Amino acid sequence: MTIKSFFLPFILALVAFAVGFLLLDLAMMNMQGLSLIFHN
Amino acid sequence: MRQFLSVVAFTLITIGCFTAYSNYGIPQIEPAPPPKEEKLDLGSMTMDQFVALGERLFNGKGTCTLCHNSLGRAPLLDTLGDVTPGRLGDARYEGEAGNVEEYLIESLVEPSAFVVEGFGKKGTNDTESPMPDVSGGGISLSEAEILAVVAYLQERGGSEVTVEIPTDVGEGDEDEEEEEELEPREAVSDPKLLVSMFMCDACHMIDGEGGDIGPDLSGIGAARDRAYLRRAILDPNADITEGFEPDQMPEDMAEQMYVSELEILVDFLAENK
Amino acid sequence: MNRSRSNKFRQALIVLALAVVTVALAFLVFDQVNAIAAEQDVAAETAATGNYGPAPKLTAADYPTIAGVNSRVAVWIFAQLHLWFAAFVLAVPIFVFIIEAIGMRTRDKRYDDMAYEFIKVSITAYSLTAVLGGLLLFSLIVFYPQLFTYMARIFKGSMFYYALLFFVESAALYIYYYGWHWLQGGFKKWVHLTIGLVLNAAGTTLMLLANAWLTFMMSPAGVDPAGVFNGDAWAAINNFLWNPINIHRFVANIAYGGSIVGAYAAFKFLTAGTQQERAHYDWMGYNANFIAICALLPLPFAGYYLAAEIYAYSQQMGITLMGGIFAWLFIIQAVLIGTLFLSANYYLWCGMGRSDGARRYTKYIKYLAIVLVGAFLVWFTPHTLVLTNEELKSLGGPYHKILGPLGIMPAKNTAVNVMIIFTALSFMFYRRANKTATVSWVNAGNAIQVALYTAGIANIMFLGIYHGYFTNTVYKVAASIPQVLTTLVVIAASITLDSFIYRRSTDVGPVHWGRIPARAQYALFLLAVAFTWLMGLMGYIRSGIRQHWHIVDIMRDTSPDAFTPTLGYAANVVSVAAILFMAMVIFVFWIAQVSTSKTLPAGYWKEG
Repeated sequence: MTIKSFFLPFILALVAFAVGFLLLDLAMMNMQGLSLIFHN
Repeated sequence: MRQFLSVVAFTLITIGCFTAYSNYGIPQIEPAPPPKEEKLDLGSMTMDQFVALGERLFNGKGTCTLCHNSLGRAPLLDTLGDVTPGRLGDARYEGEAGNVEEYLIESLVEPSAFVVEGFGKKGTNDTESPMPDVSGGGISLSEAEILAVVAYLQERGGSEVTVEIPTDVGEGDEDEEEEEELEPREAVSDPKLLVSMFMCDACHMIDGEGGDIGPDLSGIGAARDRAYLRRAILDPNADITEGFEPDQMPEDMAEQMYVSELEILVDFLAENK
Repeated sequence: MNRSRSNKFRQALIVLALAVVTVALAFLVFDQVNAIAAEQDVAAETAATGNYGPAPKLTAADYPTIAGVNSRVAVWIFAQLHLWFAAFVLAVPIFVFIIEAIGMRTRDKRYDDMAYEFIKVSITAYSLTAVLGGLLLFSLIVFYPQLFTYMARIFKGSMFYYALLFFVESAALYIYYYGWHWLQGGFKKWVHLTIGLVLNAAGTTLMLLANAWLTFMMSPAGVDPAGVFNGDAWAAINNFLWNPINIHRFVANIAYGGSIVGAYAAFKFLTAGTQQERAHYDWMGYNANFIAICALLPLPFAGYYLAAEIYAYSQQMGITLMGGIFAWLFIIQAVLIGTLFLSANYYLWCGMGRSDGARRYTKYIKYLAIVLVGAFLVWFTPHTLVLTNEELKSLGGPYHKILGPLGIMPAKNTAVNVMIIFTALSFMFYRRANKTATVSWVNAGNAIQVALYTAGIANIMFLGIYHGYFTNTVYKVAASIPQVLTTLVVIAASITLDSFIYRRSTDVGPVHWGRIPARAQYALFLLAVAFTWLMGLMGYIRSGIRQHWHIVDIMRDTSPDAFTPTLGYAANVVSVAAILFMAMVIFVFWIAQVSTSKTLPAGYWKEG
């Protein structure tokens, strides 16, 4: 398990999934007429 | 056989644990008993008592004040005596009433007969009323109760009380219920409705409207946190804002409102910045 | 051969006797119903409202008291026992049908044998279901004659079809079961499978009809506010809460049936004499558990839908359901569902011992266990700790000072999502246990899996913590939707990714069915018992939210038992019923076993 074969794909995938989930959150909150970040 | 017995023991112990937890792990709250059915003694009632009964029904069992209040969800009923003749002559009137009393009874059981402009169901162009038939469903006022409400409305609306106290309640109306004191009311989730229900705005200014006996609550969330606001409702004399008198606010708010309502109110005030 | 014939004869005799008893009860019942119906007819005529009278207004005198029996508890227990057995005998044919089809497709006879064994377990239970149904009917008529008659007048048409379908179902079941070995191979097998389909169609329709009666009591339709029926039977059946209950019960029945069959397999495993038998029942228990868990996972969503529809039907009923005294019931429910999850996971972990390759994953299991227990504890942290307004005042608010923040809904949502994700992870380890991936990118694949779970859990925590504690109620509720979706995405994506990683994978070794510790079987018992008890508890709340109404807003309960019982009281009734049910289930299992045992008494039969 080297840097190249494990950690690099891990970091890339983590960033990709994190962005993906944030987009999902954003879409779901917007569909309910709200924003992801709370505004009073 | 040993296996069999250990399985039986295991099952019994598991069920025993669930039972014990349900009995001793959580508080045993005695649910409110079913509302009692009491007979109205109409025979010995004076007209004043009959009107007072109507008022109790109006504020309680009838749930009228949920909408007929200062928030403008439904028309206010203070000028009924003056406006009714005009309504009966209106081209949009679909009912059969000939006088104020008949009109009021009709409005209670057939609310769509005349819809005051601007108060109809959305999209029906004021042809359909959002109000339920008070003789049915969850409200279920009896004939005598409806008459009592009408008597109250006539008095309040400045018209002559023409309703007669029904006397022939022997047969069909045996089970008149006077249960507004006992019937648990629905919890309310609209903070503005709570404000008007508990009449906070009689003394407090909220969003620029209301009285000045208590501190102005517009923007109170910026100055006070939730814990403070909660305590101020539950125990009003714990902290008195400078310039205001103690012992003005009722101390029994906790008895009057549900826990969920208290939290909604606290949220509402805390977010009012 | 003779022996098995005499066993079948004995079973047929039992069924016949039961049928006679049921018919006799039915006659008794209809006699009484006719008498009351005639009374209500007179009432209807005097009211001059057409064919149907208004719902009778009852007085305490309308409730017979018989030998000091508590009417409500009697009906409650019979209804609950009937429901448990009915859930079981409806569910088993559903997955027997599926397992038989899998066997036909894979041509693996083990599936066919397992399906046969499942249906054998359910056949005695079927007779018991009918008997208990008869007892429920009988007790309803004896103790609540007015209510029953009013209901019967509205639903008499559907009751006729109910009886008809019951005969169809019985016929299909007996042909399906007794014809199993006869209808084998080729076209005959297809005929057999078709009978299975008919059996399921009849059984499911029966359940839908019965659901209509009980949902009518919760959300009456087709009647006016006084209870006068307008004659439209379909309107009464298709009432507001009918379909939400249908969906919820259908899914729950499958999970329940799986758990009971799992308990059967566990018991057979523990008492098995040979290694071969142990292997067989281990495999059967594994499959039953798998069915139960698959059906358990969507159940919270069906329950959420049902609750939302109850709210939509009547806000007052919704508030009674989620607030007030029943709020504490959901704490008990949380404990039970937590028990289900923990025992299902524990069973999976024990099952990894069947494979030699599982050693690679065992070191992670303790972390899974820690997270699951932690999430479980958060989940059953009570929301409101206040009992009386006095205490509320002294505490200054309804929340506990330290635990309070964990008791609110966002924390619970976060915990339950984490539990579901970790259960999926357990299951992934289990599937991987005996496999070795051969694709070249296995390290990168694993890295992506780790990243997927990390990002998913982080997102769930973010939504739960940020929206749960730093925003308002609207946001708190709204954030639960992306939370649930995140869970679903993680599960779906990880299964898909694993199927690619383990393409053309090699097995570490043969799976050693039967190599599982005995204590794992107790996890299966725990699953079945917790399921049974939970169903009883939720039956109490479903019925309890009607409060003092037989039929909400239409027919009032004026009996001395109209009050809503406390949770402890309800729990005691449920426990008594559950113990009765377990005793009957043991009887069913025992009968299934007896029917295969043989004794040859020496010198009894004529020689020759």
